[in-house]
Amino acid sequence: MATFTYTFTCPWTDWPRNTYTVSVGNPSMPVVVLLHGAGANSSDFTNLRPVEFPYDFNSPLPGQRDLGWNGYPAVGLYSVELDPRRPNVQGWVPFLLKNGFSTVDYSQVDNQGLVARPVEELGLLIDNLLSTGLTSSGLPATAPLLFLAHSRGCLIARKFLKDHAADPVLRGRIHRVVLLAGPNQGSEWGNVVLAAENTALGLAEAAIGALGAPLLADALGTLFGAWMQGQDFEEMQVGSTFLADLANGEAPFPGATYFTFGGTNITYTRVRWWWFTPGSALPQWHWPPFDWQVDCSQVPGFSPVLDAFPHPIPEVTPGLGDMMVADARAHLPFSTPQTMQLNHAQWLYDASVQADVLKILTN
Amino acid sequence: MTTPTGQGDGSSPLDFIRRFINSAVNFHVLWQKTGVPPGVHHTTPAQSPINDGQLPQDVRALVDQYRASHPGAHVTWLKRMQAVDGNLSVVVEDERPVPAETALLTVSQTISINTSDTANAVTDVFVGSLG
Repeated sequence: MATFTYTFTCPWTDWPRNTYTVSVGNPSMPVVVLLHGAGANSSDFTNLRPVEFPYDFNSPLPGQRDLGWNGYPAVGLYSVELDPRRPNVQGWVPFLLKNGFSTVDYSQVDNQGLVARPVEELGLLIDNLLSTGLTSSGLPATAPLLFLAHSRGCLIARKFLKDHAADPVLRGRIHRVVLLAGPNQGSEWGNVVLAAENTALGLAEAAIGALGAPLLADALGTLFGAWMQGQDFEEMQVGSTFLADLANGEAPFPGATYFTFGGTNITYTRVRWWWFTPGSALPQWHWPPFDWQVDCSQVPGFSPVLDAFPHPIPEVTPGLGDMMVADARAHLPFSTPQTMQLNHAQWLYDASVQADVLKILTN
Repeated sequence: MTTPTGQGDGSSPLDFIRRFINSAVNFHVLWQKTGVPPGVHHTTPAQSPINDGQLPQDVRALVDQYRASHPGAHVTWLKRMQAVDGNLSVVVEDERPVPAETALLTVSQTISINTSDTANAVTDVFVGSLG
């Protein structure tokens, strides 16, 4: 696989340039432009934030673990942990490459700010890609482009395509726009909800103690913070001026078909704790005399996350949302909708959505 | 019969007894081949008879409680072990194996003290045969 990195100029003193990476697949197939979500970066499509994202909450809990013989009895709580990383997951870049598509991915300006500069930046990137990036990477200058966006990236794609609907350079070469869990009709997430979730998170941390609190904070703090701490969230709220303006007069980019995906799973990870078995405190006629064994179970009342937390809005209600976006708000009047039982992170690696999107991209 | 409960494995008392038997090591026989480890005082029951008077007070109370709930139960003490601060200290044992699962009784107690300059733990284990 060949990859090429290109730098293009941006008109901002605090962000004078940016780079994008072209990963080259089959030159006769379209090029997929990838747009990440709020608070994220290009690694969402490649490395999948290995510590945070692909929690394996589906596998059965592990069985009893033998910690070996020890000189002292053991009782009580041994450890607290989140689910381990799901095995054998791949991000969109390797998946698309494996299936022949070339990809373009980059880290957006203002990934927690307003959408205006990321939209303008995307235009600059596309200009550079069409004038330099494609041909310098060994791809046809006329290669078709497809857009695949996640979360806030969907709004960036929509805004860019709306603004460039009459662009003769782009018309006729964009056939598919795939929007994964985009807050296209907004999200009800707000400070009140954040406070409620943080209260639940605080209770969970208090319950599982110092062993588990940093784990939860790492996993959920960054996830919530990415959404709630930026100006971008003002634009993503239901009924925002930005969303109203975006929808006003919006039509599919000429020649393009839009596909929207919404999720209904709010399970992010289980919170697991290991307790010493009663037998770990019973000495045996052996040296050392104590055989330490631990059992795994979910922390009652706090696991799985977010199922065990409050459900004040559809976004965080099982069957209605994917933690960040409600399924019903992920779709557009002119899109082909699809609902899948995925959480907001699973869109980045789940094999079933990758298979479905592959069908869309190849048809 | 009391079943230990908790977050644990759901093991029954019989499961514990079987695990005890399966993991048992006869130190007396072992040390006839390898020698007694330094720091361990090893004698046989013939040399150091084991009786109720050697049981820690709370352990003895447990045994008395068991006897009260099992009239006619007679306990013959066969083995005794004491570990101090994680090191084997005393073993009273001969070549006899631990009793069969329906005759086995074990009692134990771990006491400890921990301050800024002290950390001590003592575990006593007694193995008896029910008759």
